[in-house]
Amino acid sequence: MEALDHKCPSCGAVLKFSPKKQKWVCEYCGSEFTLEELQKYKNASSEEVNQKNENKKEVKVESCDLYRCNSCGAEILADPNTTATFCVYCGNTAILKERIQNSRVPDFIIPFQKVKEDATSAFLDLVKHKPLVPRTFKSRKNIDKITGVYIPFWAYDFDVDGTVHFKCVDIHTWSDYYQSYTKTDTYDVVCEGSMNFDKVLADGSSRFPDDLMDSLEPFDYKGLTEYNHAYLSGFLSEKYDVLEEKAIERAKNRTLNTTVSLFKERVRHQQKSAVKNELNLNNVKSNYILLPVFMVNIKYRDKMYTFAMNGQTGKIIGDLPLGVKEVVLWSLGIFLVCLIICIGLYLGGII
Amino acid sequence: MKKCFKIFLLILVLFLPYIKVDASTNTYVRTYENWLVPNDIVVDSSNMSSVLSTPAVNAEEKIYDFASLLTSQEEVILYDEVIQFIEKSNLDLAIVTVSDYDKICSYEDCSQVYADDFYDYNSFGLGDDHSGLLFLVDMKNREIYISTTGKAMDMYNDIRIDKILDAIYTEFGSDKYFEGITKFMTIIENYDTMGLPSNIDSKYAISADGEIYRKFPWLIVLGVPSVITIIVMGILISKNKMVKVATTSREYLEKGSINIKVVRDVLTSSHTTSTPISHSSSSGGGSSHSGSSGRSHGGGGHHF
Repeated sequence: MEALDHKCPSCGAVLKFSPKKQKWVCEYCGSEFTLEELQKYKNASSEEVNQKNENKKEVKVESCDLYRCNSCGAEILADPNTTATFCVYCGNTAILKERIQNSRVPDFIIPFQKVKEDATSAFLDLVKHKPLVPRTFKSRKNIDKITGVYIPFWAYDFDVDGTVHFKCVDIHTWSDYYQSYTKTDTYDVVCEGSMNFDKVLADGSSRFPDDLMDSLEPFDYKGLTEYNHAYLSGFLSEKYDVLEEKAIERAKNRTLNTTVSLFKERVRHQQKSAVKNELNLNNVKSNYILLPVFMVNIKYRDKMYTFAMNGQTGKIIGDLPLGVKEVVLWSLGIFLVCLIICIGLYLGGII
Repeated sequence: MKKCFKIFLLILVLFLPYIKVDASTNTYVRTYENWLVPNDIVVDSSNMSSVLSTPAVNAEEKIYDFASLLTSQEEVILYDEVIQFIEKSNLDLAIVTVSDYDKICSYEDCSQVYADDFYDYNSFGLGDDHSGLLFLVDMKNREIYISTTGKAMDMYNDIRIDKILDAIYTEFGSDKYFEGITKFMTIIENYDTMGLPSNIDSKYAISADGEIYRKFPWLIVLGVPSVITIIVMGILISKNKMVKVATTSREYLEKGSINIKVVRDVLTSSHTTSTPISHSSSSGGGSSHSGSSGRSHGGGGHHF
């Protein structure tokens, strides 16, 4: 793992990662570089690269700043050229900058493919046709704080094998002139099999609600590349704070559910319920990956509403608040319109 | 002489539609040779006296004002209304008034017996079941009586008959016969519009006074908008909620890696239950009685 410093090889100014071009762009001289080109320059200028590659897991990421939020305790990572001015989780501006110590380097990253403007317009589209969202909530001012953050995820590869026992019931009904008959057949079914899962995600950040992060899925793993620190330039990141061993439980549950339902699909009966499963979930590999998310927290009536957009696919998610006034007016409006139609139908002699 | 009479009858029948109703009602003489009863009525010793005491009339005249309670103009008006009712309801209708001078007894059920016999021993009624009504104003017993036959028994059940009588008897008590009969006609038309008593979904209802009015469908007018509002709001509210916990991981499945086979599929138990199917038919309506003719009638009366 090598850390690139993001200096423009031609002029020395700061390079930033551009999601649109999927390249690093020098804002000063306009030069564009791919990862390979940057690495080539780096290799040419530095001899230490090979040495750094040897310490695999616990790598000292020198060129990374950590901001600690005094209010909510969030730990935000940023490269030295990106300054965090407020906590992305709670909006607090009192954040302390620290130098990062040892941390596990992510295995993979999906770089941002959407820019902040995409996120802003996606949010505005989201609220546009939602009549129950309070008007004040829709204001543009709210979403200026939308921020691109690389969220830590654990991704587990599982090999599953074993057997599942089902109790199945088939019901047939028929009748003649005198009687109606119901025949209930009960079956004992056992399925055996195996399957593999590739990088089942589990949220590695305790600050994000699990369900919100789940709803951002799916990410397209075609965009998955080996982690390089250079992708972080221009974006914030977070260090995982849910341990690999803890997050795996959620991933295991999801995988077990899916496995059982896949087994179930093979059983040809009307009603089927899994009564016992003897499945082995073999965690072949755990990956620490960073996924691109645009997020914004909006406060409405003393409650925080978190919106997140998948920074790769553009899928936006979040629970919108219900405006009391809007709900009442719309209910009343719909009721009155229907009432008038019904009365009209009555007067017209139709009902 | 007999031939003459037959020719006269033939001419009468041919010209029936053109004969204007007159204040005086024509009756015919029943003889042993010709009882002047409908074909399906058998006259024998058991009902002979009933037949003989029932006037034989032309069933097309519809208004038989033996008691002379109506003027000839009133009879014309009523006749037109009766014809309209018959066409609309497909039920026959006759209006009869009798006075002290007529052959009507004066016991408890005399109005009923007279009304039923008058209907049966003259050719009233439409269809095989002789459907129709007869409204009798019995001045001798001071009673109004409605006799129903065939399909009219379903349409005008006991409850309806009582309601009709309650709504109109006062008119007869104050000698407003034409008004009373007109009101009777209006109310029976209203019930016909409303439909059979079994038709509880009828758009119409009839007040105690016999007036027809359209029921206001409260359940629909308030219920349907409420249900629509709840459904629409439910959809709108659910659209504001987008966050869901993921419980599956199907998208991470390596497609080619699935290998599942059913290793056991055994029938462990089988049982069959049966329930009998009932073929019941519902019946409703009112009470009925049979007169001397053997036909069954419904109806009711009210003194005034």
